[in-house]
Amino acid sequence: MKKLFLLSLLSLFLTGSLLTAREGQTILYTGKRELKAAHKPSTDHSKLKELQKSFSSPEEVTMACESCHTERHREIMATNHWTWSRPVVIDGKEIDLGKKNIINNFCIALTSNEPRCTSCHIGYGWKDGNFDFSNRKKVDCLVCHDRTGTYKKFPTGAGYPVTKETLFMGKKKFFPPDYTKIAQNVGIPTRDNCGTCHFFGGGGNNVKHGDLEKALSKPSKDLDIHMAVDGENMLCIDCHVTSKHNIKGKMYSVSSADTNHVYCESCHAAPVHANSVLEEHSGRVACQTCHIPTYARANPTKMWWDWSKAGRFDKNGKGIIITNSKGEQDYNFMKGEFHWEKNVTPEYVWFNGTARHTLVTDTINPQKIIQLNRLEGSYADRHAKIWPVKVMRGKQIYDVEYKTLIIPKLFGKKESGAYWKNFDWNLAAAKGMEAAGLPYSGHYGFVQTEMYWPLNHMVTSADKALTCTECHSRNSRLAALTDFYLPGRDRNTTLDMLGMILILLAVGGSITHGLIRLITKSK
Amino acid sequence: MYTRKVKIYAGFERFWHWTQAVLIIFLALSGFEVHGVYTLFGYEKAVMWHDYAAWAFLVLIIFAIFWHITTGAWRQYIPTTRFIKAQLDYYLFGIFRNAPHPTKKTTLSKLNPLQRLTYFGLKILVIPVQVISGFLYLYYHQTEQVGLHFASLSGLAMLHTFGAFVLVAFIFMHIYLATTGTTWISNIKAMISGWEEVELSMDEVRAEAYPKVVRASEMGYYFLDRDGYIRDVNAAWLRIYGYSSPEEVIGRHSSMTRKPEDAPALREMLEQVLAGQKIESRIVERVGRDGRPGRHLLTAHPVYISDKIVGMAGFIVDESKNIEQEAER
Repeated sequence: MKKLFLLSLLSLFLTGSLLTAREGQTILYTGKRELKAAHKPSTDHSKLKELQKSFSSPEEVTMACESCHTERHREIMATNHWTWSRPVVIDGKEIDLGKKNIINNFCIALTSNEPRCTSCHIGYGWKDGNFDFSNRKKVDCLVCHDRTGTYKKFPTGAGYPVTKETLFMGKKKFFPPDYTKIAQNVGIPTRDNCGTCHFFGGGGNNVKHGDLEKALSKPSKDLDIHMAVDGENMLCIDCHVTSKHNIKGKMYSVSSADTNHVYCESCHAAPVHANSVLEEHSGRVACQTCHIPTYARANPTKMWWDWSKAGRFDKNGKGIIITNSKGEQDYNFMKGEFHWEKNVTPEYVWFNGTARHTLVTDTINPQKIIQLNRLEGSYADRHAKIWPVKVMRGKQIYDVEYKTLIIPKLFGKKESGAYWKNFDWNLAAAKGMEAAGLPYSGHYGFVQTEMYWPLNHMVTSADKALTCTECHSRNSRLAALTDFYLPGRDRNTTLDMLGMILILLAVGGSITHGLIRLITKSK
Repeated sequence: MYTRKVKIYAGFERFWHWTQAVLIIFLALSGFEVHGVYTLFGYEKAVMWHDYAAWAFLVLIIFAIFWHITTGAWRQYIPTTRFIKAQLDYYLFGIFRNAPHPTKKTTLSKLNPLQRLTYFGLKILVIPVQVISGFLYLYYHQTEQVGLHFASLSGLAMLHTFGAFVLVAFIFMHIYLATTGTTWISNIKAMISGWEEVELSMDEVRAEAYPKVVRASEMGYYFLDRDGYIRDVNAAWLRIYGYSSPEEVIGRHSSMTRKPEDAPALREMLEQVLAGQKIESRIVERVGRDGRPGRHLLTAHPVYISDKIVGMAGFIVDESKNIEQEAER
């Protein structure tokens, strides 16, 4: 009989476990694929006659490239790297949207500040609104294909490198490139090629993204499991796969539609978790949510930028710069007040892949915090998933009368009216809006804004991914997402109280009854 | 007053009870961890094991349903309102005065009316609600995908949590009330061993005692069928008649116990009794083994089986000694 019991007990639990078969923790990615890091160019460019000469301008190099790689300029000129703009349909209306015309809460806008901003354009000479986007000579092949690490575009040179040794901001020296050597050593883009712009967006390392910074040049496994030099050593273009110079991937800070994106699932095909409950999460939780537990793990990122505080000078008339003990600028008279954070816990939002943007032409409600871009989605939206985001917050200039955001002219010579020379917001607003062809009332104020940056990089190893109770607990990371029931986080306090009372009554009643039985010495 | 050791819980029943107990306690422990009340197994393990246990519980329930149907044990749980007040009175007052249990536990009726009501409620309402809400919760996304959406997750979770509170409260009450048996631990021992001292009703005492009394009695007992053949006698009857074993008389006609001239009187008496009359007492002359004469006092009454008179039975007391004493005087 006992054996029968044990046998049935065993079979019972075996049935239970078979029906829910889950063992181990994760399925390791074992797919065989060739990574770009191993790529060797099939042509030795140093043997090409076209490149065995000295070049007097970068455009000459471009023409040399195009003499063999004909029609490649057509490809590049069709991409967002060239246009900084793409057509999107918002509310049935097609508009052009991109870096070209978007408002952010870092350096605010491109228009009227071109030479500074376009140092990251893959072209030469976009210095004002008259840049000729059809001029094939102006394509910069080298910024992406330089493998010597010596090709540098000057920060305020409208995309050009320097022609003679030049000091930037009195600190960093820039040298004229050795075009011959660079041209003879071209290759596929490495992390450093992409990073030369994408790590330093916003005017410094890791300022913008929080998950893209110079430490990703040679990251450890802890910083990024994919790009780790002691691991897969993947290049950006291993994920951001490229066809005819169209590099997959775009950021919701400057784009709206869920197209041309890179997905984890492109390599990690479902099911990726051995635990079926974990696997189920992928229906409503983005991979990034658990696998990017924190961002800015190596260097801090800018979290707050208050332009309203810019323009302070000491009694000697020298612009004030306050640097904290960690070497971060807390204040800069040109830009205002900053907050930096390292090892940041992301904020989480529902996101269905579509973003909305507040355009410079949109009417705003300055009583509220303006969301410069808004990630759409909610629990009720079945296509939405929980995403980790960096939320950049700050204060920036707006037109108090017309109730619109303002494009200020920040960069330029003193006579251009640039803020960084005159420290006159009214003048900067007038000049910036004039360049954009938009009205300015002459009255400005500062409004608080937010920008949402979905996180995609700095993926950790699986063992460092979030554990259940990071979200499934009373002090959940998802505390802000209140439109759904989250086990472990949520409860009905009335129900729980009633339940506890019920249990206490049962226990208390039993104890009292038992005590009376003991005292009355009944059986 | 009178008790008997009875196999009150079958093997499967005990297996079912204890497995269910372990599963419910484990489900509660892991479930309230998932609810965020405390940390015990670790959240991931709590979720995983809660799901395993849920499946095991479902399998156990299927086996239990099969068992209850095939054995008819389900009838034990049909609720009744009879004696509910008595049972309540017992728990509230009687138990402190050592009053007897108002309802008797027998193999056919193991549960008192309060138990019947409680367990019926558990089986019909609480456990099905728990199982259904639990599985809808567990497979919420899958049911969502196939359009089987009965309730929101928060609705399911709240229902499931409420059920859990009820079950936990039940377990505490149940464990305590298990100590209210004949002794503090007799009920618990019974659920482990299957055997329990069960109090007997007077009918049960009678049913057990009567055959023994008749068998061991110093009065002779006989049973004749309708045709007057001897069907049964006890040891005292054989001794009075001088026989040593029942084989010598069983199946033979009763006329052998009388002198030929007394045989009609015996037949007449049989006919009277078969007609439904009783012979309260009568002194008769008998013929024992090897023609040994004797005299005894006799009673006779009809024997009913399935409402039909199938024969005549009665007792005899030997009177021979009295006759000898009279003769000596």
